[in-house]
Amino acid sequence: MPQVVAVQVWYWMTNYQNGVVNYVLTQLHIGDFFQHDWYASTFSQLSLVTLLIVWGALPFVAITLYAALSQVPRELVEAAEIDGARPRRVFLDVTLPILTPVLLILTSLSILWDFGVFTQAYLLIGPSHITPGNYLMSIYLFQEGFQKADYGKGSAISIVMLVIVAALSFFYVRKMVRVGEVE
Amino acid sequence: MSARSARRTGWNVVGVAVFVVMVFPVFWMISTAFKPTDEVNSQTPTWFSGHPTVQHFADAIHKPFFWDSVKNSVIIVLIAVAISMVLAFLAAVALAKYRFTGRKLFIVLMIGIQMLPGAGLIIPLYVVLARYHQVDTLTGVIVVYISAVLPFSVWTLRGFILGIPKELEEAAMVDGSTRLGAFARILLPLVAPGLVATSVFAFITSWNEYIFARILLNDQSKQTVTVWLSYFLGTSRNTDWGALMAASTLTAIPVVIFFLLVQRKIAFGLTAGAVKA
Repeated sequence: MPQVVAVQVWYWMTNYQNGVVNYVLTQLHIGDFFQHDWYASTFSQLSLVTLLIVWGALPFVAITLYAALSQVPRELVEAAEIDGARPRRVFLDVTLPILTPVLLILTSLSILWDFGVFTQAYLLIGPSHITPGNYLMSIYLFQEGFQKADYGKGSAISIVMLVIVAALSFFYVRKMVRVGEVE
Repeated sequence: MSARSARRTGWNVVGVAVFVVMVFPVFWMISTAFKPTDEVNSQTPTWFSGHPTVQHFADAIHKPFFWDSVKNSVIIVLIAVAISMVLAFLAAVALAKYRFTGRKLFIVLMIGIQMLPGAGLIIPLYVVLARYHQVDTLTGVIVVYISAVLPFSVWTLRGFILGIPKELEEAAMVDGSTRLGAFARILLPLVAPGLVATSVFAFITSWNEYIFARILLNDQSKQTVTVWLSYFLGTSRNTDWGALMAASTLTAIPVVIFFLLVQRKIAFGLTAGAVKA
């Protein structure tokens, strides 16, 4: 689903007048959320953005892990079971080590993607409610470089961002290049 | 009930709960889009409306610039996908079949470029495109989308090409086909499902893209659907939630349809290829 669409749905579900989230939480007796304004504090704003990103990323991660799980050789699992291993040990000693590379790639990819996230945070918090207090790095870049048309400062922020990303992506790139070398 | 089956039931409950949380926003969007306005605005939500209406869709379509933005999105996405597929396919063939100088550097650059956060590129792209007077034109956005989609497409297509046994092509050449003939008659049909899958990905990425379209297209008649949708909330305090959800549904529909249509085709293409081989 497009990110902009997801943002609009999120905003509608959490609006303070008649958002369905407040209604459900109140009905479940988790607390009194009648007309609770989720956009009142920076913490709650950013938590909602985080939830939105996780919601959007889960299917991809789940499908990738599922595909990886189906690649685990049956024989290894069976052999471990015949040797008397309990399900938990089979998982820890057989399945998990085989999954580790995929988990590492997924983790570094997710970190990289979410580090540069812009759309969800910018739109969900709302352009008029963006303040230095709830800046993400990409939003800081957008505000300084683009809204204030200070291209020099914007470029400087971009470069700092790229350096951080380069450091983070080292593992992923090395791994993928090795994949490319094999053939 | 034994401890084991109790635990199993517990996990199933967790699974169902996760599923409900994942699906609920989509359900709520569609459900809201079809509800009459008084049900949308009531304090107690209605889960399923007794009297569904398409009024909100009519409202959304008649908002200013809706058709303009749809047209722009379609033009941008189609051209960007078409051009990038041709380029990506040729690059992928080169990467998969030939060992040329700078091949390794090319791979490193391609993977590295994918890692750059899009937001980090808005300033340089804007400055460069402004110098060539491509701000506020569809061509500028098309160029940006092509460059955004290319690295991934090359990489994926390369994988598909490698998956086709070299012997098939060699057999065709032994049987007297030229290199080009083998390429057109053997490689191209076998890679077709991969091409379709990759172009769907390119389509979805470009259709969903927001930030570049937002900064490069200022004129309201030139914006894409995602930008149009992001301005929908407007400034008024009384948001028309029903129309907003109808508009959101409309924006998401092409992605969903395209995906479903092609999903069947990909599965079909894969099995057809398997039988023939």
